[in-house]
Amino acid sequence: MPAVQSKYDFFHNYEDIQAQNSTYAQRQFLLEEHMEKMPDEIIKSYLNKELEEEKSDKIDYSYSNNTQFIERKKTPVFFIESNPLLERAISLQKWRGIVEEVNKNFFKAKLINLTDKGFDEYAEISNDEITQEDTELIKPGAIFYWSIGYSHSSTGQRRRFSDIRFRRIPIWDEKEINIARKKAKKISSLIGWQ
Amino acid sequence: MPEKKQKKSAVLLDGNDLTNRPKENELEISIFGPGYGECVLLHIGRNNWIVVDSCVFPGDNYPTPLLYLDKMNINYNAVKAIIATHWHDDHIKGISNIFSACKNAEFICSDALKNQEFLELVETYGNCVIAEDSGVKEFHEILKVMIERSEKDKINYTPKFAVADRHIWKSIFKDNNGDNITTNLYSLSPSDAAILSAKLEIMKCLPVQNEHPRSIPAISPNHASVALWLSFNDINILLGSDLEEKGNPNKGWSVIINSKTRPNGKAILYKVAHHGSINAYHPKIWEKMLTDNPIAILTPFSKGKKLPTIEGIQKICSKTSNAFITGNPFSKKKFKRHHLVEKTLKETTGKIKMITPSYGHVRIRIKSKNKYSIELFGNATTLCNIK
Repeated sequence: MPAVQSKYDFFHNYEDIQAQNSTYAQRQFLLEEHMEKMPDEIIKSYLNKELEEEKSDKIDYSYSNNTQFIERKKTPVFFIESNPLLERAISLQKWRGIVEEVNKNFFKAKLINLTDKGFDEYAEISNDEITQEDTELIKPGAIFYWSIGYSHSSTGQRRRFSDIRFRRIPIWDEKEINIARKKAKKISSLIGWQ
Repeated sequence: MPEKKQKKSAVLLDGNDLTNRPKENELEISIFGPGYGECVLLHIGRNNWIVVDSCVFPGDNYPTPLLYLDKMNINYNAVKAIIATHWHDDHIKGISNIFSACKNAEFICSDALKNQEFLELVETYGNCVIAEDSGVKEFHEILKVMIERSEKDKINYTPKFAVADRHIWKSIFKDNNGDNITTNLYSLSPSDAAILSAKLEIMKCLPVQNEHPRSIPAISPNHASVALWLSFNDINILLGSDLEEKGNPNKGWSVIINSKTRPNGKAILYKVAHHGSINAYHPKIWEKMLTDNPIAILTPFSKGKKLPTIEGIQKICSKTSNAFITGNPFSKKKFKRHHLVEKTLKETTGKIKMITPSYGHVRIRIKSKNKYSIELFGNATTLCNIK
């Protein structure tokens, strides 16, 4: 892969950058999700795994000829706490969407890629993908979050999920509008906007 | 119209040294197209630069014109003016960062925004989560910088407003040979009628008590955009911005074409308006304002609809053989991601497309009317080869 000389060379090595970005982002998200959903000890053991492997390679076997001991060292036994499995979800792709056009059975939206920043997309999304309580929010200008990934149930089953949630933003209140109006007047006299 | 045999300009393809600075007496026009949006960077002599609009290349957060200046090792103080032709998201992404970084630059925007209503809109939406990544947010940040400057150093803290036939910039330098380099920049729009319409549109977008905030829609048709005319000694160029034409004699290109007070002469280069859309095409631009077989440059637009269309390309290519585009609007490049995501997308929505599939940079350096170079970087290509 050709080395990237500077940020400006992004469009020269498009494929490589994209491949690199997507793998990196997925890894980051997996790690973040693990951190949120799993106990700290498991995360630490995962992060220290390579370190432990390195250490185990450096074990000095020379002081003993006891083969049994060496075998035990090579195949260590781990005791795992038998706590019930926790339900957890791992997101592989996230977008922030802005509804731009609403049709009878679908809507069109700009998708801001939150996993690979800068690589935004545009999609047609069927209304069937939206939960009943969010359907009334499908209007031009509405904001939603779309996450795709997989979840692990408490019984260990893995399922894919696609979750679209519309953002409920508080209504404009009089106070808020008046404050903005006053501030706008102040700015206009301060910098000569008018 | 009988087809004339037109001479094509020699084009230097990607692989040229991007870091070469223009000579002090050279006019440079660099057009960056990230696939969605555009930016024009002008070198007007003796290391003085003007930025027109802003964009960010995919996978990056830093404004492209600043990256390009970095690449040439040019200090940001060399930027003397920043122009926001209009407030659509695709034309001003990153412009607040440019204004903040270029302390010697004055800020110029459309006169259609010179009203209390626009400031109110910016102040209400600028702090709202809904305005993230939007043109309103960029203006909100610009106002913050202006207020800060008004309290501290009192330099470049007031905006200048562009309106039809206004002389907005003048500079005179002497090059090493002692010859004068005179640059004049004029705004050709918006017209008075367009300013009034824009104000009414802005009022419609203002927040209404007890209603939910929503993203501000793009105002269409775009008649409030700033088209520019640059004269560099005897060389003229026309930057069409996103100005459209709907056959209304009081708005759009009709006003410019019929204006008796616009600068004289014909331009040898045209940054085609509104990504080469049919809505921005007016045959009289080519007849009255441009020389024969001019250099035409445009940027694609790919968000749901694609611009230019085949019809738009044919219209431009019937007027010039020297047309270039920063990326192919019909590129079918797909985004690579985890196979599970792809599988889910296929099941939930068949139609998802990248907004920025093809992007690049066209650089033109002009010494005289007949002595210039055209360089294409990234996915930039000859327009008339696109099918």
